[in-house]
Amino acid sequence: MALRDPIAAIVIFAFSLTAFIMARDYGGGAELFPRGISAIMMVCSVLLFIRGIVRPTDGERMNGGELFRVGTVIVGTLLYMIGVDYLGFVTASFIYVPATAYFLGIRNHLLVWLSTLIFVSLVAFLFRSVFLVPLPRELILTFF
Amino acid sequence: MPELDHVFNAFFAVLAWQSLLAMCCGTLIGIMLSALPGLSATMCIALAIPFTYGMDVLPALGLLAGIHNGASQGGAIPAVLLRIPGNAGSICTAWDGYPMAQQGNAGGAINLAAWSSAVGGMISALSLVLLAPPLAKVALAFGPPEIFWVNVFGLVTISSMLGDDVLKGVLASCFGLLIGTIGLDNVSGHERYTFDMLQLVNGIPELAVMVGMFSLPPAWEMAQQIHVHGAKSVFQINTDKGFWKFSQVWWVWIKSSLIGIIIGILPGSAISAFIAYNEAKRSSKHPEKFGKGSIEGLAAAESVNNADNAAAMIPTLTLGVPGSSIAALMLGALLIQGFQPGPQLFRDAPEVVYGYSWQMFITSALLIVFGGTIANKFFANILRIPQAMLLPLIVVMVIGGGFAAQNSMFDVYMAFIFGLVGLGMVRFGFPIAPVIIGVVLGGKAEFNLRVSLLMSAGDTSILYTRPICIILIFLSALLLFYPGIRYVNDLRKSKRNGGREISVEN
Repeated sequence: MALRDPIAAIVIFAFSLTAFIMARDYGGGAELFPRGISAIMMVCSVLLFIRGIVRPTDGERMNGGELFRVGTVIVGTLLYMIGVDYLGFVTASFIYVPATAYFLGIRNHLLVWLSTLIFVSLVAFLFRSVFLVPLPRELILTFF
Repeated sequence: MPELDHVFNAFFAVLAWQSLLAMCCGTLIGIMLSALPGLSATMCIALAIPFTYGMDVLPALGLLAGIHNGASQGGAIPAVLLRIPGNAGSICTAWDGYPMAQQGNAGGAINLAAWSSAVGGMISALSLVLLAPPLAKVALAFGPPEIFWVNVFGLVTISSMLGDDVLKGVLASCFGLLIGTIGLDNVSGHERYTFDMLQLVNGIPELAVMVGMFSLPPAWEMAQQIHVHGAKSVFQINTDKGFWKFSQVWWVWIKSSLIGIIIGILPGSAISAFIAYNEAKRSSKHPEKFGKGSIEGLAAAESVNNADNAAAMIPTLTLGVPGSSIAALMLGALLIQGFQPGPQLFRDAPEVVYGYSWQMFITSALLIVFGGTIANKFFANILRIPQAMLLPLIVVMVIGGGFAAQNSMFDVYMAFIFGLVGLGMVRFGFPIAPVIIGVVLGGKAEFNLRVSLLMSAGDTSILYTRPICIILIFLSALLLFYPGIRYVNDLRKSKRNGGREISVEN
């Protein structure tokens, strides 16, 4: 990805131009700071684009397998968050942690389930009982 | 200078067993709780204050002082072991602490962090005992224009120090500043970039940005490394505390602590860790080791982190003006106990104000025992867990911490989005820390800029005619253009040497 800086520069320019135009409608001085910042970002992104063309840099690349693993873990995190929202923190964690560990190659069942049990119970206990933070409600408990 | 009999009487008063027990419990609780990412020192103190209602004043303040110091140091534990900074000050800790853990020195790194925090905290507490009234005058000299430039200086420092690429550092800072403008404008009341979403009216939660950008990308990238190392732990556990020596770090401790004290007394200054780290790197004989497990880097980050704890209390105790959220809570705790912070507090209740200062000193010393020896024995073993198991556990901790801050799933989704942004930034070679600092300082910088312009009826000369402003502008410009100046000098040298030895690429 030798053109990573020019690509990043184009994305940043588009982002800051959008922010600059949106800030136009804010009144009472509220527009000054965001417009100033987005203007600086536009100038810097142009400099980054020119530098990237003149002196291209390359970054670390992932192979297909690595990309698949990282991508799956990211999607798994998103599904876990949705699970926490709808199923509850403890239930979703008891599904997510073992599933991810098995996906990443752990085959020691005792380690997987014992770690999950101890860790999730500890975190849930600390938040609920010590910090008095009500974690998302467990769907399964509504059936009883 | 304070009257010495008050100082000594207060010292013996805090050695009563109730006060000592409260300090020990507070320090231990602070370390344990803040080792969980998402649980800040502010949150720990806020939770503890109701328990102090029925306590005597010195044990109550001792408990809070212990939690304050313990929580500041405890943030180093996840930073060293998992590269998850427990608070903004631990960001620099993660830069050198985590590589140390990877190199098999997790125990030693935690031990060094504890010693550094203890020394920084003790020096800072002594400044509170001896220099509080004169130092408070320094804070009074800083009005909105000066504080605006302090914030700009912090942003420039962080942009220019991270790697060699100032341009990407500035872009990352600006991105953070722009994110910081989301929500209701403090001065005019206009909504900015909220897209009619009620959750965005209060802005993007700092914790969601911090947890998302710093914790999720390294966790996700573990999945890439697991291919290389298999499903077993990649870290060798070595609890050898002797891999650092006092002679390597004592000067860094003193310098960083002084930086922490000076910057800590200024309201809204979350930049001391970065400035001290930058200074340690600048003056080091081995700057190339910074970010790769530098002993000096970790010592600077942790000593300054605790050095601004007591310093932040100086304007609170002497003027009644809290300079940080924790100081505001402590002000509340003093009011609950029936004391009014301000100049009269030193006259009316010297045993309380000096007693609290000594408690900050003693609880800092306790960090060596609780934060070093004990935490070392328990927490360093986290690295024995295979990475494939650690990855989902980190995500669970991040989600739990992200939710706990405001009891909101919106924050959790925000953390995920910023995690994706962070991963993209890492892959494209952008530093992440300036974004966090931009978000933290952006609101303060804008507010002080706008208030300055209101003070001068729109006359911008207020920003560049005051003496402190001029010094800060000069220092900021020097930091911003220093890499360019160095590049030109290197280019000249290389031309003289026949085209060799260009040390700076950007």
